[in-house]
Amino acid sequence: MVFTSVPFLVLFITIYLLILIFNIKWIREKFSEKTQLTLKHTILLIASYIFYGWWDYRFCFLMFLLTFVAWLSAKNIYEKKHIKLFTVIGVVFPLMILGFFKYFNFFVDSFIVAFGVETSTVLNIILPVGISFYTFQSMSYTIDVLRGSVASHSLLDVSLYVSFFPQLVAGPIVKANDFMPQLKNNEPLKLSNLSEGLQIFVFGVFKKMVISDNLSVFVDDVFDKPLAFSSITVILAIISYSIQIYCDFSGYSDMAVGVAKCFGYNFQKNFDLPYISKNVTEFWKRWHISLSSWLQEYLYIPLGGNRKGTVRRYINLLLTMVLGGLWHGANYTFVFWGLLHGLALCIHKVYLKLRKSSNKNKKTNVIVSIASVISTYVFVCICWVFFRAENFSKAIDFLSKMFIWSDGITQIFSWTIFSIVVLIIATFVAVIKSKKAGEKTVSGFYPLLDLSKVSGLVLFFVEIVFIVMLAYTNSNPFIYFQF
Amino acid sequence: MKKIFIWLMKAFVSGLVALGIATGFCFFYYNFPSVYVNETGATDYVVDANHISIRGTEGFAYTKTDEYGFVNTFPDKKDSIDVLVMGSSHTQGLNVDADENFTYVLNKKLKENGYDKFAYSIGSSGHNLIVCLRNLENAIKVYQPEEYVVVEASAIDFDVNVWEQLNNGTHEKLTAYDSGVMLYLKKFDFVRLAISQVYNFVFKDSQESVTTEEQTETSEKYLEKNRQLVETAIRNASTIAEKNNCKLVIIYSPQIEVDYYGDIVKEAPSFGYEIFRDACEKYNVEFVDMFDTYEKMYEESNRLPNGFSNSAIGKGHINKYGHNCIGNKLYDTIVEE
Repeated sequence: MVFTSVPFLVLFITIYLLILIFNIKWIREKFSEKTQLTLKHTILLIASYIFYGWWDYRFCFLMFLLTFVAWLSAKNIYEKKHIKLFTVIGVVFPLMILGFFKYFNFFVDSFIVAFGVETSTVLNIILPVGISFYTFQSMSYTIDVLRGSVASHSLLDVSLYVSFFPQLVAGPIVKANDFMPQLKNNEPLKLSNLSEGLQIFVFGVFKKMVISDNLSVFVDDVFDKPLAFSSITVILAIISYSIQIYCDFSGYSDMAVGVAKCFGYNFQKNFDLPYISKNVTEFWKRWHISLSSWLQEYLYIPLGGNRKGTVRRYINLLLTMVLGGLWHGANYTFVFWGLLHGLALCIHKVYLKLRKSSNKNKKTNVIVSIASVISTYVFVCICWVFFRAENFSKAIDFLSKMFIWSDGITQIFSWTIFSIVVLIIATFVAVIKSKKAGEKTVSGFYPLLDLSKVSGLVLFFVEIVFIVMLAYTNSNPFIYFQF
Repeated sequence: MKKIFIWLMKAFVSGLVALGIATGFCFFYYNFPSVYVNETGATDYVVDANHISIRGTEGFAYTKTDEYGFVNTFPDKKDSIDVLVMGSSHTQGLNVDADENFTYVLNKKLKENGYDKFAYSIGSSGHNLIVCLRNLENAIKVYQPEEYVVVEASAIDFDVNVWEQLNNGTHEKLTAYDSGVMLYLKKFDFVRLAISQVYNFVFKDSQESVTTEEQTETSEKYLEKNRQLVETAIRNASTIAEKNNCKLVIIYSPQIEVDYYGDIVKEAPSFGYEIFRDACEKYNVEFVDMFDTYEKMYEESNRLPNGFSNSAIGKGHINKYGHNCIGNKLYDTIVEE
């Protein structure tokens, strides 16, 4: 089930009405807080399994198995029983599941190519939707309990944490220590949360269905046959893809944040104007924040982080980014994408070190800042080529068309121009807002309206009718579903 | 309770204002005339006369229908028609400006080269080859072209059932939805666009499954039956045209595919194509295949005949370059004759 579908609308309204029952004064007085929370969580859990089972009910068992192992491991770790054994089980089991479903064929293929083995044992494995997200979450729970940042919870709560439908299939990756405390909250559903949540959801729908999906038409055409197009078209295609993937993924995150907000849960921001980053380090603080912070917390730091010397620090950084790339998909293009970002991060760290030692107090001027933003964006776009292309050969063809000026079919796609204009305006608004608020860094924000006023309602309805008019309505799944 | 009532009233008023804004936007983005049943039978339906038409969902063009509800804007209109042009939305020039559709290009070229001939288009959306051949007799009776009847077709390879329906007169007319609630709703462009968008959104999966279920029959028995039916249809059409001293011209405008390296994909002609081409030759119908002309245009300028700046590349309706090619090709065909 996807957010932008009729079945989801029905499911959402049904769950909301069911949970709204707990707003009735009589029920709040009659039942204990614990009973109310158990009932609420059970409703949300059933809804989450329906949401997930809509794709393929068989994978509900897989998700439950992962949840059970995480719960069991964490319970034993919390009770200090066989800590080492259960830590290994709690971390290795999800990785094995992920490895089997996502990477088995990839590694077998690589082995066959590397050693020239003639027989193929490739299995026909269906990749469960969102497996990368919920395996990470289940691991996060075990590790957080081990670190003592989260207490052991009931199987019901752990199940809800792993499968909570707003973030289940494409994130944001919610950390146990962020989400678990919220499960204790028994506040009734609030109209203010519904108003805010719906607006954030609709904002995400606009990004996904109006901008991202319309751009996908052009991007798919050009990436399918890059050599058929002129250089200018190929350049526009990669700009379009950079906006498409941003609006697709951040749109989904907004929808997730919005839906969770309606039920009174808060998710952290997953994207924060990534394309205004002045360097790659900043880019990773603004792009897919939940993944980068997960990788930092559960991979980079356990590897040693920057505590074991300069060389080891760079190796850790490279390894983290390569594995982060591989997390996106079982393809060497993703690995290379991660490697490029890892190298860029290392180079930036070296640059910062050199700069720090040479001129400590030198401030960067506006021109340098703009040049930094542009060069970071260009680098990120070049990396996107490897991320989007099906294989290296296509990526190289695409890049050769980008850098060696040549003729071909020329398409100045209207939606690209529209999207660039929208993004520039939105960025300017964010910059002005941040300056006015005296913030040091520019941050994105949700344009929330006061829906108790006519002006707010008019703008909100105008947003909805424009989505209806401009949305790309043909089938177009979220990009991050494949991960 | 009072608070809820006041909020509902505010929401209602705000909704109306938003609809007003959407309707205003649609005037420039999605402004369509309504369609009505054409009593003459020359076409299945006809649209509002003297109505502006804009469809921003594919390309962006401004056209205006003439006093009879067809798109014809050539200034020096004669009283009599020499070339009657029939066809679908491609012929109607949907998504290209009124002075870019191929009928206009043909008229302009005829005038520039001193020919006293006039082409009139009755192209309407949904009027594919089968619909046009079904309406051919009525169209000739109503418009009485003196020299040519041109039928534009973007597909010629139909199922035997469709040819059978055409030949035995059971092929159904297109629905105009020109009465009751539907007509009223279609007067509002935003409502029409919203219905179309919501329909696509809700039924996108079922539409896809229909496409994948299509199968091409190639058994000998099927092909022979197909040949007989196509020949009958073309013979009937040719007879109708000749009875009225006209020559029937069928313009076939295929969609051009480009491969990975940017070369045009050339496939062996399908059986359906060969059957159709042979039938045209046999019954003295001029069959004009635009493939070579499109290929030449692509090789010279890297332009494809279909697609617009806001739609899939090389797909969808014919763009101004494609129309220009057809207009010129038609001119050459008529002058050569």
